[in-house]
Amino acid sequence: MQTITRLLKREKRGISTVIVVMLSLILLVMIVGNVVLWSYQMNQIDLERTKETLTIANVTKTKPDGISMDIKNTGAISLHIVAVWVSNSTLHQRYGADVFLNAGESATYNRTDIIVPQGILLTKVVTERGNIAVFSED
Amino acid sequence: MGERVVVEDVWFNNATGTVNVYVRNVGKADIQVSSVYVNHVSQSFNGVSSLQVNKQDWLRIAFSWNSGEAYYIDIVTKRGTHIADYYKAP
Repeated sequence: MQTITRLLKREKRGISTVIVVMLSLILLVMIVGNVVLWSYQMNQIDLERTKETLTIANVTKTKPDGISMDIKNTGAISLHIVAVWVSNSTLHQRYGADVFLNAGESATYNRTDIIVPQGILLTKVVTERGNIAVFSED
Repeated sequence: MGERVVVEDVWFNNATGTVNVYVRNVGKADIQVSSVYVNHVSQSFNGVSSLQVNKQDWLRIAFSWNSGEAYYIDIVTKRGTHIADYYKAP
């Protein structure tokens, strides 16, 4: 180390090139690292989305308005339901929701503010990760 | 690369004569819808043109559809992500 220091003190030409190369290498490592990390995070999101599964076992209309839904998380990870869709041929209505279900857990979700349209009813729940479960009444 | 978009609902609306697609941005980057194709033919659309992360909205495609027919709807973002599938009109 002392020899290198002595050499650097004696021969100062070319030091700037070494510094530039070192800084460029650090910058390159940082950029590549960020790209790899970003890619890993997106892969993780996709993997979690494929692992998430849910089903709507039953939907019943409640009186005077509203619906009751039996939802089951059939996947291995917990999920977050963010929306409920109620639709028929003439109306497609989205309602915001905030329900968490642990892996394997079942729950009955009641909503009294949902106006159930006439005709064949299609009910959907949407998770935060973007998966959808559908129940058709026909 | 960080774009992930899901189609929550597709509504073949008789009253307006449009195909309404409800899209949600579930990715890590904001998106901008650049074009929409129905059966590989570019269509004009209104409604949402850009969506921030975790936001959702209707995209209304001006397209005259026929009952019982299936249509291949392809939504393309500015970065080149395609969200495409077949949907059958009721």
